[in-house]
Amino acid sequence: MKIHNNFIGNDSTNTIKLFEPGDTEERYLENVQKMDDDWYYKNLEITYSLNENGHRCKSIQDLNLDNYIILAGCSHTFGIGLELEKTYAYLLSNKLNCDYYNLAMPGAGIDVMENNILTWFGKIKQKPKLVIIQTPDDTRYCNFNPHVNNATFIERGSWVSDPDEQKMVVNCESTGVFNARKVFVYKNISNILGDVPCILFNVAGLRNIDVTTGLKMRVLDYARDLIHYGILSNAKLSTDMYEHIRLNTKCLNF
Amino acid sequence: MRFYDNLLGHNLDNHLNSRGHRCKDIENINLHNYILFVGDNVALDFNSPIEDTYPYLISKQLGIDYYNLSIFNGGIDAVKYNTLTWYYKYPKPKAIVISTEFVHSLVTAAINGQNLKVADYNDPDIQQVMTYGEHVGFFTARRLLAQNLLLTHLITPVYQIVFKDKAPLFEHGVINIEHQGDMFDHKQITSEFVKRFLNQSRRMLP
Repeated sequence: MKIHNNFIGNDSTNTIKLFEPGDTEERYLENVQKMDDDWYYKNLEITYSLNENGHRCKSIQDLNLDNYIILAGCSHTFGIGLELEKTYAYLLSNKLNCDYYNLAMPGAGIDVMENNILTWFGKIKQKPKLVIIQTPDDTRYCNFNPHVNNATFIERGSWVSDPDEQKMVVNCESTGVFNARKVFVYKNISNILGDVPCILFNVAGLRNIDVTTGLKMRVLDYARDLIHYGILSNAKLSTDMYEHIRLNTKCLNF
Repeated sequence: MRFYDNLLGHNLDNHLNSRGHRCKDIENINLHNYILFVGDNVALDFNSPIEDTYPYLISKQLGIDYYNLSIFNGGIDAVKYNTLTWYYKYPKPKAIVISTEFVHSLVTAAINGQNLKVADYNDPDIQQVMTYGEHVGFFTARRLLAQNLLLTHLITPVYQIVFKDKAPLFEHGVINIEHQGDMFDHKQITSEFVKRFLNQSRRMLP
C-alpha cells in the first residue's frame, strides 16, 4: 500500500488488475482444478479497476458529492474475489440510489481505516450521507518498509510468520496496546464524523469490536479465492443493511 | 489518563486543570488569541514550576494565551488524538507547537477500553513490543500515518521542536526549531521559538 493524495491505497493507481494479493492467479488456477466444471468462476474474468488513489471505485472527480456514501474496511469491503457489481458496496449504493466511494483496502487494519476516513473528512468539503464501517480485525496493523517497491506500507496481522513479529502481535494484545489503539481510533472517527450517520458492522470470523447494529456479513458462499465471502453473502448483507438504514435512518433522504 | 469532554487528560491532581492538563482551564483562555502546545514530557516538565516551562514562557513573552494538551509519555496516539479533537472542537489557534521526547511511547487499556494508562516499560512483553515494533517498521508506519493525518487536517502553522538525538514526529510539512542544547532548558527553547515565530509572522504580513 502507498499514500496517494493523503489516502492509503493500492500500490498501483489508475489501472485495471486481473488479480490481487489474496485472489492470486496461482490460487485461482488451483481452485479451477479443485472445483466442479460448472463453477461460476471457471471462465469468468474479474477486474479490479483502481482509481487515482488506488481504491476500487470511481474517481472522486466523477462522484456525485451531493448524494453519496463512503465505505471503509478490509478485503471484504474491497470485494476480493468478486466482480464489482456483486460487492455489497455496489449493491447497497444501487438500492439507496446514491453514489459511493470505497476506502477499503485488503488486509487493512484500523490504522488504515482511520487514516482513510479522516483523510476523506479533511479533504472533501461535501460530507457523505452515511459512513459504513466494516470493522477490521483488531490485531491488524501496517508496517513501513522503505526498501520494498520504493517505500511501501505492508498490511500485517495474525498471519505473520516472522517469529519476532508474531511476538509483537501477541504482546500488543496481551499488554493492551491494541486495546488502547482501538479506543483512540474509534473515538477519533466518531469526533470527526460529528453528526454524519455511521453504521458499523462485523464480518463473521474476524475479531472485531462490539457493534450495536446487529449487522454482520455471514458466510453463505465463497468468492473466487474460496476464502472471502461470496455473491450470496454480499447480496444478503446489502439487503440487511438497506433494511437497517430504511428503518433507522429515515432522516437521510435517500 | 482519561477523557474529559472528549479530550485525553491525566488523572486529576493539584498541578493540573479540570481536564487533567497542565495549564489554565479552557474557560479562562482567550480562544481568539492563543497557541496550542501538544506533546509529552518536556512540554510538561513536572519537575519544574509551571512558570519555568517553555509553554508558559513563550506565552508570556509573546503576550498570547496558551493551552497545553501534552500528555506524559502519551506518544503519538495521544498527540494525534488530542490535536485533532481540539482542532474541530475549539476556535483555531494562532500556532500549534508540537514536541515529542518519546514519540514511540505506548498507551495500554483493558479489553473494554477502560483503564487507559502509560505502558509499563518494566514489563518484558512491552519491552519486546518496543524492540520488535522498531525492527519490523510498525513504529515507522504509525508515525508516518500520524504525520499524514495531521498534515491533512491542520491549516494552522505547525512548529515542531526537534531535540538532539530524539526522533521527531514530522519529517516534513512543519516549521522545525532545532534545539541542540539541554532538552529541559526552557529559556533557550523559548528564545529559539520566539525568534522563529516572530520571523515567520513577519513573513506572513502583506
